[in-house]
Amino acid sequence: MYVAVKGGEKAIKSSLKLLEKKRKETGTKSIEINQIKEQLSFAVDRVINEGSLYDKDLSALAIKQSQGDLVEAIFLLRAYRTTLERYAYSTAIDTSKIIIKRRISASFKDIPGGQILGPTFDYSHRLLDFSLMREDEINSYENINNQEPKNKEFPSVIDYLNNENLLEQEINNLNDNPFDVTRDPMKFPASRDQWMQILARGDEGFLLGLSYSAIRGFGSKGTHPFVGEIKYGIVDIFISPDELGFEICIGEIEISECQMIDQFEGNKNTPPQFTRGYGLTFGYNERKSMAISIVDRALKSEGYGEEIKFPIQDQEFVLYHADNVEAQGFVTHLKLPHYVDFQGELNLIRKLRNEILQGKKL
Amino acid sequence: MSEIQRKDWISILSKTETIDLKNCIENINYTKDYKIIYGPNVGSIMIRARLGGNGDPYNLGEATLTKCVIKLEEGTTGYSYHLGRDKIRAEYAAVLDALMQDNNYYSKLQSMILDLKDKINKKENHIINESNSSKVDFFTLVRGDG
Repeated sequence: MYVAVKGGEKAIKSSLKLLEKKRKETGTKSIEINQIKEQLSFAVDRVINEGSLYDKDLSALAIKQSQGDLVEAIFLLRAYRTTLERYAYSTAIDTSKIIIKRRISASFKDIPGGQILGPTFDYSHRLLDFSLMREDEINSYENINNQEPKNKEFPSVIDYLNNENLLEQEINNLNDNPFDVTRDPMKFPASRDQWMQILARGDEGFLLGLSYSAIRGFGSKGTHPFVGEIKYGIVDIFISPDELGFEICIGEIEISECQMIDQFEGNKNTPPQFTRGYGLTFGYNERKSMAISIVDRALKSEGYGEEIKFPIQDQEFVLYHADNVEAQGFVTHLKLPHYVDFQGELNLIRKLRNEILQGKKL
Repeated sequence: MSEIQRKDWISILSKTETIDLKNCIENINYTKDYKIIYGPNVGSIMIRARLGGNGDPYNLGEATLTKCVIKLEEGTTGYSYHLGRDKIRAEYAAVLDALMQDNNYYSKLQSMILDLKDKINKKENHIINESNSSKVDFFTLVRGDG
């Protein structure tokens, strides 16, 4: 147990100064928030997800302030969030109405609207680009083409399987008051709305590792899931303020969505059908949306009557350890003064040893 | 010129940059005083999504939201709710929402608001065209039996 200590003001002040000095050791140019937002956009998008607050400017600021320590940046954003009054809940996002930036399916080759690669590292050679070492100016792309596109519609790929009843359907219970981890205590067994919110703000590395474990054999089925569809793009956000009495658009955000298709053997009541896992994140965060979709499927195991034997299927294991603000808080609190505690342990071990050593002499 | 519903102009204003909002107000020479009823203040909104994409709603995460309410001298009230923390933008949008409800100003603003809508459409078209430029046709190769 940690026992409060007093004093050390001067040392703490000096420590904070050293931390700030670390950021400007040799007096390089200060990074602008816009530079971080554009040139480190993946870091910015990670922080808005795990910080659970969509604000790319503040995310970039947090990254600057934390000197690139993303878990620290996430902590800063979470702390800021607690100062905000909540004005509204949005209408649930309609991901079928998306301005597409990327859209692929690994299950179907020919899909209406086509496979759109968009900006991706997938087909890059993963060779260091040494020209970036000497990059001075960045020229923006001026090539504007705003003609009416031939196609704007990208129907949901998994509807193919839905039409044949080969795919599990979403059940609509019309629950309009979903769990909110920022207001409600965790409860078990957890409902899917609870775990989907926690996964959305969960640590990307933890979720990636969990999903990897499932595919390698520590999962509900030893089989290989299929990407039904991955989408990245822009969606409108709507609210219905009481004072207006109708629904209005309040702006747009970027999202990444993954529909994962998994196996299921069926039972007495259900003939064999594919099951589904779903992942959704803020911003461009494809890897995490894929990881979430695999963890989502594994957490649904109990509902399918599957045996729970792996960590990824265990709700308490996954949901209590996915949050990196909590995880880092608990792990790193160990470095705070535990002097009294440790004295107790020291006394105990001395006493034990003495008893045993004296016993031997007799 | 097509009529614009309030719901639609609020949507257009929510996707328009500060400078364009300011220009609209300046172009109609609106210089009267208006009273600020609320804000502009920054709060948050909980964004919801659907389980599996089309199931029950769940809470995805929050976003910053700026709210502003103003009242024109003429007595009309204007509202704005905008994602982000741009207070000036939210104030202009609230003023424009109020002006658009006044028939006199509506007729002066209508074409400008339609231009803003056109600008938003063009921007969206540009994004989709860019994306479509990376459309790919994968073809599968049949593995030979040797």
